[in-house]
Amino acid sequence: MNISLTFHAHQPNRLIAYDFFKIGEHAFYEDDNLNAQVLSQVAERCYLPANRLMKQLIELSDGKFRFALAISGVILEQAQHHRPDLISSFQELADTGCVEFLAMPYYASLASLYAPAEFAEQVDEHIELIEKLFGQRPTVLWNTGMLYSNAIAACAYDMGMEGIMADGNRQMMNNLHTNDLQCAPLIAKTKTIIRNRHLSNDLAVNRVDPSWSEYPLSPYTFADWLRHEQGQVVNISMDYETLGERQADSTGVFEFWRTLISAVLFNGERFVTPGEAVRLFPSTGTIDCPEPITCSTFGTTSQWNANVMQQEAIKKIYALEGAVKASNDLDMIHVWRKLQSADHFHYMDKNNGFTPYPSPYDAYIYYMNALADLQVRVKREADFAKAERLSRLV
Amino acid sequence: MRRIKVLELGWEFPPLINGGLGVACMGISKALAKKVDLSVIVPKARHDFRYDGFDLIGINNLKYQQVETLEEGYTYESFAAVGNAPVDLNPYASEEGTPGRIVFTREGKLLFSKVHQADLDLFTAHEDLYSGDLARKVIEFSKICAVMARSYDFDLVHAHDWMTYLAGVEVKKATGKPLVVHLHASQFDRAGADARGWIYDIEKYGMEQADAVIPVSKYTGTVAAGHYGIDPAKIFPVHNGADPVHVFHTKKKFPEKLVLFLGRLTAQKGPEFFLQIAAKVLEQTQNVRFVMAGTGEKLRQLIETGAFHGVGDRFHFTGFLNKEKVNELLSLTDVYCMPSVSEPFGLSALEAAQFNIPAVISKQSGVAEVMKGALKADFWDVNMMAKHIVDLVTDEKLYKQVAEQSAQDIKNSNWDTAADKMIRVYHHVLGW
Repeated sequence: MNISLTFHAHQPNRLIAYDFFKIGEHAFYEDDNLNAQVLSQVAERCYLPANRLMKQLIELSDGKFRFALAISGVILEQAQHHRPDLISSFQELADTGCVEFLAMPYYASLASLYAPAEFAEQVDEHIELIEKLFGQRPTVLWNTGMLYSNAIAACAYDMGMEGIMADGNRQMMNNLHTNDLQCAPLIAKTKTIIRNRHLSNDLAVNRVDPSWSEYPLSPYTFADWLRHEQGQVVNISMDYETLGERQADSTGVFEFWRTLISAVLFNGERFVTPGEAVRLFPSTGTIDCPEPITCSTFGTTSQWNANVMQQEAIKKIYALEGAVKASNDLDMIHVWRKLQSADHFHYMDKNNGFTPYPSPYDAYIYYMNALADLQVRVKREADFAKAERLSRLV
Repeated sequence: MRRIKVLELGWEFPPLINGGLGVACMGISKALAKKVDLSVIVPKARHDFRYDGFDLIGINNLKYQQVETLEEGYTYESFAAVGNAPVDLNPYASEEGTPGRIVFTREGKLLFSKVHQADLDLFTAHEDLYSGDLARKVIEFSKICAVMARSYDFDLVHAHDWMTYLAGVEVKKATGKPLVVHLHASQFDRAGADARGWIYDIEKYGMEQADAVIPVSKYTGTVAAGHYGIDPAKIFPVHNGADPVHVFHTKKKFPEKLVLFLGRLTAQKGPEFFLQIAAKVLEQTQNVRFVMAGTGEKLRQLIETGAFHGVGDRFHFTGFLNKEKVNELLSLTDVYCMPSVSEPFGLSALEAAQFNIPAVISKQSGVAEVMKGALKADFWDVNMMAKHIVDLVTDEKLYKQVAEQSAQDIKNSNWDTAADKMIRVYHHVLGW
């Protein structure tokens, strides 16, 4: 059996309590201290020990163990500022030649839903960054939250991607063959790689759930399950933070993964990266996904855009696209793009308890005030540029 | 003619409690004290704080022994006359000696038990004056005021708002001195025209028993007459004053005009109307930002309604602001908007006028009688309100004109003028 393993790493840019009195005056929206602190904490608990483990496994298996990483531009940028050792640690993994880096929208945004051209630019920006840091050009796209639809697959094709990841959600897609590569309608060259939702969630969620029928899960049992899967390639993927953060070291998560991967190799399975998979295997059919799907609990985009606050925030941030881009001010464009991160809208979700803000309403208010400040800045620059043009005419 | 001796009963009083009622009571007391001999009893006062010209007595500073001595030989009678008994008082499960309980005599008459230490503790606790068992606080306050009044020398008693009305009536019955009640805000304003219940009953009872009623505006006087059936002949409206503030102006950090709403986010203040007005204005001009300063039960709902109206990037919520921040905000503001559904007075509009800010206010407000120059509309007429705001932010000539007229309007809005009018009411009541 072929197994493809992908981890996704991302940390949000949490905002400060940006109140009305800061509008027009305070141009820095992010809580730099908090973001640095969380990044450091997660780096110590998760990213660094996980990277060490993965590197060991690659070396011990003589490169038979291979996997992929989808790391957002946002977290790489944070790491460059606050934890350069984290970048080096990822670079060491890249140097093994056994780790493939996937393309993402740099800002972990929802641009694929609201601004397709902007989406392409953000993916380009991410590809540039990955190439600069890790010396390889991604060929497979991992969209924010695994957002996928026929339209997004078509975007990936336009960008020249060889593959795009989608979550294998039976409620959302017909004719689903989870372990086989398929293509979106009318798309031939970009293959859709479908995540094995069931097996991935067993590792990411159920492993630490005492009420689960298979609890406690032995890595050998799971290796056995993998052996009995059918199809071209079993695609296991989850957040990298599962290792050491969501599932603390004390749950034995690192030992579990060490044993699991060794057992899978011992059983004679083959690890392939998503990029290798799309080159190795042909598409087996067409998969139709007219509505956007994600890897969230319900498979919808409701965690980002179901309530009026989220809809208003999204509408207003994308409404700025033209004016922001017309400024040709790279810093301002960057600030605007950082405000597109899906996390901002997720914090406005009333069902989301995992938030740095006192309430979703506060999240919305701080965000909209920051957005108002950006509006003011955009206008100020536009007026300034206009005045300059006029003075040159005179 | 000798100076009148006045016993004033208040509920809120700065610096401990800084609600609108407290600020008004302090303004009135300071101004009155220049011309009458004044003692003020309130539930809570800081024991180390002194005001010039009058005594402020906080029940929280009383010793039980003091009350016990005064209470000798006194029975409380008047509460039985209030139609609805408060929910927390159960007349059927009473026993001698339980604090604050009602006792039936053999003739079936309601009697209130004596004041106990636990009753005094009500006012020393850190709990907010309006939370917990408010009904019991009101009743215990009345009992204590009544017995204390017997040791005071005064000509009349002046009670502020329903929390002190029972006390006022009780004092009148205990001493035979005339009662003046001041109506700062009624249950009609807070809860609407259909509001009935214990508070409404107390308000009505207090005003009926009073020798004169002083509403803070003619508008509120019509409420007292129309909704409480009070004889208009004993209603004497006196407009509130405004303490002079340090006025300053700050340069805005954004180019748009700023329209401000300031107040509790409750139905009475009409915050939903302000949102609708904002949406209408933004349809006509983009050169405006709106700020809703304050907090209240409607905050979350309003945030979502704002998002629904699509004005989220132009309509900002600040939450609760302290006085300093409020003044900072006023120093930035271009237009003040007060779309209250029912506003007995509306001091904030005067404060805005002190900052030279033109106001757009609802006709259902007392301050509309004072601010002749302000632009007015019915609170529900969001189109007219929006038109006024658009006119002000686009027409500089009109803007200047309204601002200047407001400055004229507020010249006589001070507490001294108000106190003089109140003293005239005292004279009328005393027949001097």
